[in-house]
Amino acid sequence: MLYAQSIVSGLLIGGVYGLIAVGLSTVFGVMKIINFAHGTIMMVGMFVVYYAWRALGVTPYVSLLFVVPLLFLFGVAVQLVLVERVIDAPPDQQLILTMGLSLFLLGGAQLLWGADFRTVDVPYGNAAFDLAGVSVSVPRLVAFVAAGALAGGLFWLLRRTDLGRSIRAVAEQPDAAAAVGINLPWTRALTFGIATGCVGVAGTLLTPFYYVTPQVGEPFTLIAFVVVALGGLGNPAGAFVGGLLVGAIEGLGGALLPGSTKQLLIFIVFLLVLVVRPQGLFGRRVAL
Amino acid sequence: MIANSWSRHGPRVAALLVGAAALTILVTAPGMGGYLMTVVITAVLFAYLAQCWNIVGGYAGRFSFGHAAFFGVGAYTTGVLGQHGVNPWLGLLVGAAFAALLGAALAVVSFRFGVRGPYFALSTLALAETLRVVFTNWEFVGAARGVMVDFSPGSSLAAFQFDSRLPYLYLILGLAAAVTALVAALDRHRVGLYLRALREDETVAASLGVDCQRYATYASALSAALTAVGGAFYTQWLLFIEAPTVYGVEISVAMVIPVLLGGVGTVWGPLLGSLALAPIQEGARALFRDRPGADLVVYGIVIAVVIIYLPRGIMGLFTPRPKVDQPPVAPVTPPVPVGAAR
Amino acid sequence: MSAAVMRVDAVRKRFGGLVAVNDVSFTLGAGEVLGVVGPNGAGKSTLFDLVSGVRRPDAGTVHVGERDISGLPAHRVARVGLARTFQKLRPLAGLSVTDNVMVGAYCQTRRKARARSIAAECVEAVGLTHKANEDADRLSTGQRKRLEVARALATGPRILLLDEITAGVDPSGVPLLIELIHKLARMDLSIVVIEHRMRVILDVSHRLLAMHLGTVIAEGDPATVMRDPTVIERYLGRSYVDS
Repeated sequence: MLYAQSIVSGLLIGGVYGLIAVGLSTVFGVMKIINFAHGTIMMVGMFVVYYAWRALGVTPYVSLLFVVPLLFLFGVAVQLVLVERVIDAPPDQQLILTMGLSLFLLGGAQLLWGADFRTVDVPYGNAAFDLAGVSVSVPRLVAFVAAGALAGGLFWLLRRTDLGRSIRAVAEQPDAAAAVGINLPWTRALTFGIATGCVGVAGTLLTPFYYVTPQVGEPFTLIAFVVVALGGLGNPAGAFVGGLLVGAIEGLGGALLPGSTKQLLIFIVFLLVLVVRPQGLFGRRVAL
Repeated sequence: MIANSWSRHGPRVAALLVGAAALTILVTAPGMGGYLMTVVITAVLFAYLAQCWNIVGGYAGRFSFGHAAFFGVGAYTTGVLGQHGVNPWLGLLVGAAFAALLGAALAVVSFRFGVRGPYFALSTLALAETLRVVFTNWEFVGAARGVMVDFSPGSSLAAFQFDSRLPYLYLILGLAAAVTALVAALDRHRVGLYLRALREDETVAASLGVDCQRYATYASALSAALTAVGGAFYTQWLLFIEAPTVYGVEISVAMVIPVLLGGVGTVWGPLLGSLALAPIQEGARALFRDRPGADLVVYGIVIAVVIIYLPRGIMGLFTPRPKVDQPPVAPVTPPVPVGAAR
Repeated sequence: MSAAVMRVDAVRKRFGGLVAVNDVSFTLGAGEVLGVVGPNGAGKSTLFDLVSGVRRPDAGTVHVGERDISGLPAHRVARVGLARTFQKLRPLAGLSVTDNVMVGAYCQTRRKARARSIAAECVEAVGLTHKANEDADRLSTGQRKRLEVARALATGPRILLLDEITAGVDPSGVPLLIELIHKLARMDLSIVVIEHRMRVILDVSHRLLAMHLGTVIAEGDPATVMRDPTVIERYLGRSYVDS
């Protein structure tokens, strides 16, 4: 029963991992860039949620209304101002640039808000119900369902809308896409914005049951790498499934391994996947 | 031409600057205050580490983002063995050997499975993070409490412990000079050329007779061992280590930034970069009154500026090489009578 | 027939469902220039990869002299005395022309001075002396092709594989490269040449090998192979006119 509980908790948070990884994977699919700042950008969103609650009493889920547009615009700006300038540079340099952005945001957050752990205390933060002997946390369930719905919405956008078709065209054949009149920098900026918007949602969904600190984003970046490595870079659907998988592995790790070593299982899976199957479990067959 | 004379004299100018800085430190060292001394030792330690990273990250083109793994192995081996009464110099050697093995294993595995570029960077990061988690939870190495080195009053070179900071400064200056001499020798040597060749294109290098796996492994092991020596120095200097620090991303980043800033894969780049970075960092610390995060903001800005405006670092300013999209047109040569030889 | 310096026996390479090279056999005589022709996708470059150790053959053997080199890694093949150029130009960017060539020269010696003088000779042989200190990625296409040859030459080969060294070169630069191949042939090298320009291949080759879809469809002296109806149908019918 302990394992069932661990796996259910893991799967629920895995939905959020999936959503974070979907953004990372989409950006990689379109721009072939690994965005190392993905988790730190989420951290910025979480602080916005925190201060909206602290100062104005806005409950986290309502914050979505402004956190998402804010992070979307931030992502668009990052792409246009920074990433666009290295779009043709070697991949190492692109990775370093996003690492730089990550360090900047992390340091900036420490300077502005200090390194303390903060929590958003809302009445439903600890709400839970019993399902066949397994305790299900309400905010985690909400996060799982919302993350799944948003990921589904993103697939629909990529598959069924003109914007989605442009994004996929840029992912597959940038030169051909440009030749048929697609504005490459703008499409890439929108893609980056969508990814950061998604991560803003993920961060908001986390705040009712997670702590907020400048350092909170980094582990999520690493987890998103693991997820994306499992699901295949540039394969958003695989990324979401990978998120569930990593959530479950982490849950199991928490039950099996002592103390803070539960992350260990994830790093080991990560190293194994990178080494043995760098194209991910599902490859790029069901790509963007 | 100005460009030409710069490119010829660039490395000399860089050497001169670095030499002048080293001399200044040497001469003023005895009169330095405690705080300044600590700042300078830290700066020189990271200049040394940057040069170690340069061997594998710059020359061999393996962009490691987890060199803290080797630093931590050196620091912990020295610290833990020291607790069991082993002389720190021996601990340093053992740590360097462990790190060399780890570095070699990393090179072999990543070569065997074709883990390159960003994937390599991420797997080195994961390696360091794995070690961080393991060492934070491993009772034998003190787990979350870290390792405290016993200090017996009195200075002794044999015990690798000194009452004042000055000997530490001389020691790390010596190490930095030694590793720079090593890199300078490598730069001129066949092996250095091999590393640069395999950095650019492994298939071509192999077809020209370069055993890429072998030399990439040598570079990785050498860089790892020297990095571990830096870790051992750190342990003996601060007398206390803990996993989140010595295996932390901050250490890995601090090793890479000076190289990026100074010029990747050049002899003087890592030192020039450190020289340029130290005052910026101190300025930021003063400006933000020592609040945590100032370092990271500086790193972030330096990275963005370097990657966007100075992709070849400060050394790139000395040796301008305008990027051409199209190779220049071939000179017109008078046609040779076709088939005359047959 | 003179003693073979290289013997390729039934080498084969499969990529997924595609057999890129299917039981190809040929021999290369001492001092011979063997031309390999065939349309794109015939498996010519893959054949070079198999012989030079860049890829491992699934089956078959390659002998240089009496020595079986099949499956040896590329860097060991280079030291056996077999060198190659690449069709897709791959100068070692950021290294000077001399440094590029010195990488190969270290196959013959460990001494730097000696390697430098070998490199200088090879750079001279391909007529790039005036560019010796330039960065390799600043050369024109024709010069890059010659750099490829100089690099290969510096390893001190007995056998040289030249992969389309005139492709993409301005027509005015082609005669220089033809002359270079003749010069190499006079240096006691045995050479295999992949070429698309018929003028070049007929000019330099002693013997021709025609490939199509991974197999050899004709072999023999150039004039005979060129008249072979299968070859004409598969290949020459289209490209002969425009080359």
